[in-house]
Amino acid sequence: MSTVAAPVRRFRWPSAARWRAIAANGTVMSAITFVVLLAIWTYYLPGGLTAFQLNNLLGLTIALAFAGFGTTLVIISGGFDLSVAGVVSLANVWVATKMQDSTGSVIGVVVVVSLIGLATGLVNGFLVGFLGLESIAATLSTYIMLTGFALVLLAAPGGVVPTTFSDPLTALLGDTVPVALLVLIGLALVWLVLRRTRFGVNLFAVGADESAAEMSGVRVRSVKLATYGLAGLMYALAGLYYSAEVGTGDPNSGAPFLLTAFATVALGGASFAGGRGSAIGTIFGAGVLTLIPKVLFVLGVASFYTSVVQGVVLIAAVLLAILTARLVQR
Amino acid sequence: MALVAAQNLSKSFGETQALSDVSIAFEAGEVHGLLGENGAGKSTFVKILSGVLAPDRGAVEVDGNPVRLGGGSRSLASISTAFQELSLLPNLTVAQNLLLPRLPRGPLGTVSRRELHHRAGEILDRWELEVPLDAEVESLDLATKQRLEIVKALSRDPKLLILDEPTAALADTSWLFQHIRDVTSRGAAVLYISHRLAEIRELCHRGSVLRNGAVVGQFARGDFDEDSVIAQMIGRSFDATFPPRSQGASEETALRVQGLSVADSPVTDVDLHVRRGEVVGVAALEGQGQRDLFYALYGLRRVVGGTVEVDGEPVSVRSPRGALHAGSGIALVPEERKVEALFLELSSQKNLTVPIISEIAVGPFILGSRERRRAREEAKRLNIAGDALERPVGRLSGGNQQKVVLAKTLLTGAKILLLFDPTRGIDAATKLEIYDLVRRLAEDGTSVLVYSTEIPELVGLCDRVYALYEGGITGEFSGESLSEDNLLGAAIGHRRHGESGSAAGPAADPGHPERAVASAESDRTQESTT
Repeated sequence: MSTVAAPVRRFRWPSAARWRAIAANGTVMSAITFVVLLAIWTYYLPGGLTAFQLNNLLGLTIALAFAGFGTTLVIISGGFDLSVAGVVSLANVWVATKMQDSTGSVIGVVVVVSLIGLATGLVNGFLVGFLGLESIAATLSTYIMLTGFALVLLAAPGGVVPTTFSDPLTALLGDTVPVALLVLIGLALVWLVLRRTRFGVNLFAVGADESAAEMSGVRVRSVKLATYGLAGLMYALAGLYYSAEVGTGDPNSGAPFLLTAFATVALGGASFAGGRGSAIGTIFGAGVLTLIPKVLFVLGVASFYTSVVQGVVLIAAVLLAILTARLVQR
Repeated sequence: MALVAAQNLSKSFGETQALSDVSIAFEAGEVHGLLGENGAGKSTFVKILSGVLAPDRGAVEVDGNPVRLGGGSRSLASISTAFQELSLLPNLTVAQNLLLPRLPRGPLGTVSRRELHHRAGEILDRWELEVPLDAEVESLDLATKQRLEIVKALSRDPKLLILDEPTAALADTSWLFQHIRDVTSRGAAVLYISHRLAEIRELCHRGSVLRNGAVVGQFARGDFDEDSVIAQMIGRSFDATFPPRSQGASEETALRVQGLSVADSPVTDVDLHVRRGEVVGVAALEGQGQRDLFYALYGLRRVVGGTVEVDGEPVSVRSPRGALHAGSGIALVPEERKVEALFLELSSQKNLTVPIISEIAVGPFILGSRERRRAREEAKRLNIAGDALERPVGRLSGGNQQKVVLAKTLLTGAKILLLFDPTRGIDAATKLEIYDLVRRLAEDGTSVLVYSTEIPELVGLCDRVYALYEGGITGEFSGESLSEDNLLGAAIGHRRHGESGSAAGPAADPGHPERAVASAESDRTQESTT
């Protein structure tokens, strides 16, 4: 709010187009939803919002935020990516079975897992961009394959995630600032930079109209390759952070991410037709999804209703965005 | 030696030969006009020259050196194109669109907004276009988008500048023509594609006429003769093209539309009517709401105001099913036959018999013999080749596909036909058959409302024509007043010729049909269909 030195200007009501842009901006909508839920939760929380409570909330949010970030990229490019579930499962199992309690091993495993995610994404991008496969078919195949690999490594839930790895990621800095919060802020910054790069502009171009992008000289296939590759890397990071939070391995741990990742994107206001979206909206969307069970808990609603409410909130948020956009358009 | 030379270019899609053995040389400093009907192969030729499509055979040489084709438009720095369907990205800003794909980078590797706006601003100044650099292209009106597309092509300083129907949405051509002369005076060549003969006459040093994918005629500035060029384009002389009009349609009104407004479209307060047995046209430039108007009458758009009467009874059409059952029935031949009207993988006879599936079936089972018999009857009526019936409709030529669409539409039994650009992309012979068919139907009491991108077609075919501009009727023409000039004038928003035009839409501003300075907030922007 720095209106200090601004010259005196006659107040001008924002134009219809401006209003429409604001209303149709999913980031604003999901941020508002998040803040409202956070306020309700804080109000009913015995003892108010402590650093510990916040860390707990963000710890649950962050893996989903990474997964949603990757999904957002692919959705903006006009595709769908189901491989998130497979990458998260494999990453989790890899950490739980291969990581030793030493710095060297931690770094080694983080690098290997990141490369697995990146490689999966590049395969997806190659299948979709260069071979012209339907994105759902291509990524469904990689999802199934990776789940298979995860089961080969670890047939049943088990294994331990070393504390050398998990402690720093889940810590409270100076007992007040959750590391997860800094990572989330970093993630948001990555998005703000990314969408200002040439790649970012090309991504939006390809998602809006592939043939117009092609005619404008954008290398559509390469953009898709990079998009899926980057998304795969994000899924791997989601799997790493998830492992740090839960501390154990499960070959099916990625499955819940599949639908929730898409839910965060929808909450964040991206267009599933491509060409519109914001990872920051998605990050808030991830916050909304993790806040809902907590809010229900403090309100005394049985936890069975969590999924029901999550679904209702999702519909409400998407509907509200459409309705306001339409209302403003009149 | 020619600056740019296309040599023996051939290209086919499936069984359709889009381009066969086309050679055209573009000389430095000259504007080369290219004429041809829809579907003559112009777009294919442009796409090959722009590097978007690879030809089956042939080559393109720039300064005598062959260039790589089909690698995307970036691979051809020496040729740039303003595409008819526009290559602008709706969700990017004006500045981003102008400099794509080489956006200037700042020290951080991100796109430098300051540099981007600086360079884009220079381009706009240089080519005299005023548009807010920050505006998303989506928010611009169609004429401004068209100018932006042209400026984008101009700004690449190409050796060959391709302008594909650059004036489709421009009422005033002086800005464009002046810059074209700039370009040629600097020694570049221009390929100018338009169906407006007057522009070709004014601008072009030389020209070629395409028909069915081949060059059928060439002309130079001195010997340009409109009649012979038209004859070359359609393959016969112009007068013989259209069947005679009927003598006085019935006085009964089959379809009456009053005060119609359509949701999310420019269509506002449209009044029109079609008498029984009358063929009524709608003339409009791209994106004036004609599609929304037709689709609303068929229940595919939401109507937010006004009334529709069929045979004097008010009807409320909310779906195509409702339209087919409204009074004597309303049926639509849609714009995109391959997407909206046909099941491409199914045979023609299966496509044909979809509307009468209950007649050819016993219980849940379709009787093959009945299907064949009914399909044969219809095929005969519309002169569809017999061997076409068994083949997947996607393999047929555009003309035969459109006949299947028409046959299918007629089988619904509807007495009011909405034809949306029924002759788009089909050969001249089939066009004639369709004109004859429309006339025969009208004689038999069917009422027809037809939109066509080709204004001469409306003049030749229709009893009466409405002009539509920015979603409002700007004129109504029949008899003496039904001429190309009058229609075009009304379609670009000049109302000088409207004899009994109803009130124009609120945005139609007769004095200034085109805004020189773009409004970034135009709510009436209509995306052009690609």
